[in-house]
Amino acid sequence: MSPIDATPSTVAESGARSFIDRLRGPRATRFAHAAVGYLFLVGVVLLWHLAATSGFYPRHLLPTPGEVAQAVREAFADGDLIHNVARSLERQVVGYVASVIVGLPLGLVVGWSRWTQSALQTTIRIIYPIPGVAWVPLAILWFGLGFKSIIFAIFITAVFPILVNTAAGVAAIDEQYIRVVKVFGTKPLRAFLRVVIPAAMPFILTGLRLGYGTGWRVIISAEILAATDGLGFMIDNARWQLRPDLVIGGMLIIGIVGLLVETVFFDWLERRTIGRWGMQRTD
Amino acid sequence: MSRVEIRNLRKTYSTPGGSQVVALQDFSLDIATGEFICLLGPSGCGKTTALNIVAGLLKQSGGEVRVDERKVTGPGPDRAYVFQDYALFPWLTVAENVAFGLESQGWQATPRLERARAILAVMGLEKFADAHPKQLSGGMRQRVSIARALAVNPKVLLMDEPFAALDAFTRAQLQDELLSIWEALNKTVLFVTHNIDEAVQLADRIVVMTSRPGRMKLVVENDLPRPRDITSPAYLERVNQVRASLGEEMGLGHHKTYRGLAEILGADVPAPAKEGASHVAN
Repeated sequence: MSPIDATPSTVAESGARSFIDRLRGPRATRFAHAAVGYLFLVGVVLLWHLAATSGFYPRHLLPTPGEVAQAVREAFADGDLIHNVARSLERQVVGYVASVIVGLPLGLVVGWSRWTQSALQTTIRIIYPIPGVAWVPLAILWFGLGFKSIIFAIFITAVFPILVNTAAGVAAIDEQYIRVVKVFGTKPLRAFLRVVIPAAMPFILTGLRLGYGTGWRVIISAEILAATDGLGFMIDNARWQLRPDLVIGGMLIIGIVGLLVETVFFDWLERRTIGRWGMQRTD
Repeated sequence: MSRVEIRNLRKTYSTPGGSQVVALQDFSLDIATGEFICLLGPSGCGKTTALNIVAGLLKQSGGEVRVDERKVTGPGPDRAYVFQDYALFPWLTVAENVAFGLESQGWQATPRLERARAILAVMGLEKFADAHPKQLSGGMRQRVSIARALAVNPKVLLMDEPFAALDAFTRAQLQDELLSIWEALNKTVLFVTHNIDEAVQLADRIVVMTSRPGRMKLVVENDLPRPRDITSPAYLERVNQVRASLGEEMGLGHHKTYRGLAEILGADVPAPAKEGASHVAN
């Protein structure tokens, strides 16, 4: 039997390209796109510098990019920044892991069993739209200021996107896969681990990513309200010290730390799993 | 002794509107051990419904199926299924996919993967054992799917239009390969297709089915000697015989005149022949 050509699929790459690019063909390369992105960022920083030095807005309220960089450097040097980043990340990790431990299995059950779905659906739909920060006042009443309250806020924020997306993923499993499991008489637990979870993986990853992102946003807000350290506390404290350079610097750190995990880590995870399997969602 | 006995199978569905649709009716067939049967018919003739009932994936509304005297009440290890869309798991490697049936039966990782690799080697696919299905062409995916079905050593191989999505060249290759496997293992095969040529090439008997309601129209004893020469007069005669029986069923051969289309599209077509002459053309 002569082997038939194995051409690795290129669907994955074309999926990431914009509609316009696909109309125009492969002229716009990936490098050019990256370059445009960095150029634009440089332009924004330049405009910011010009605005800050032009004097149309008080300098002590709008520092230059250089002054912000200096403030970050100082905060880094005296260990303050590292401490606050570590505290925020610690809370994020603890709260997030808890939400994964609860949200993922619950999502699997809800997606699998119609009865659980019917039972929980209405309640979840009401609780889901409540922003995580709105839980903070209640959390402070229950747990006091500090660690527990913030963990609670992240947990309650991250758990729903994870649960809801996981459930949607399980409910959307290709009927073919279920038939394979039936034909081979696969036992339920094995079917769940070997088939249902990987089949739902595109949705699960979306949920994990969303949960992480919303959690990170809430943690900063919660730290402003209920903490004595962490990045949220740091920028709020800098406000009291009339240090807009440190406020802006802290905000940028929040953005960059978020970017590193949300984009770099989850992109990596996606490439390792559904990317390798050719299962990316096209929507 | 007959391996698969199908008696008076019947399947009805109720539509959302509440009425009953008969998908399959009066379907009876005795399949001998090692026999290759093709269920042939247009879409909606109930051929896949019959296959799925034999597989135990679908509950019949009446009648029964026996495999080696044992009544079929659900899927079982004596029957394996090859799906039209391959239904391989993209997250497993080729070898893990082939071993999935064995894994489901509780085989340990080492022996099941060993057997999977051995089967892949025989089929010339060992190079791809550690690849993921998305790296394979459609033809290779279907061969992997066949390997997965064979790995559990079933008595009966159930195949639902397995080659329908493949191009003609790949299809010919896979038909050839399937026959080699069948001759090597003497499995009973129940093969659903809408392709007349395919049925005549593969089957010992061709069950021609009709639609609405789905039922058997006739059974063609396809006793052409193997390997079959697709250019021989006997082969072509058999194809024509089957085609005629199906064409009758589908209302083919009545040439329709779609002159209105040209008018709608404003197309510039030669004027139709004079009234008297058009009778001859039809």
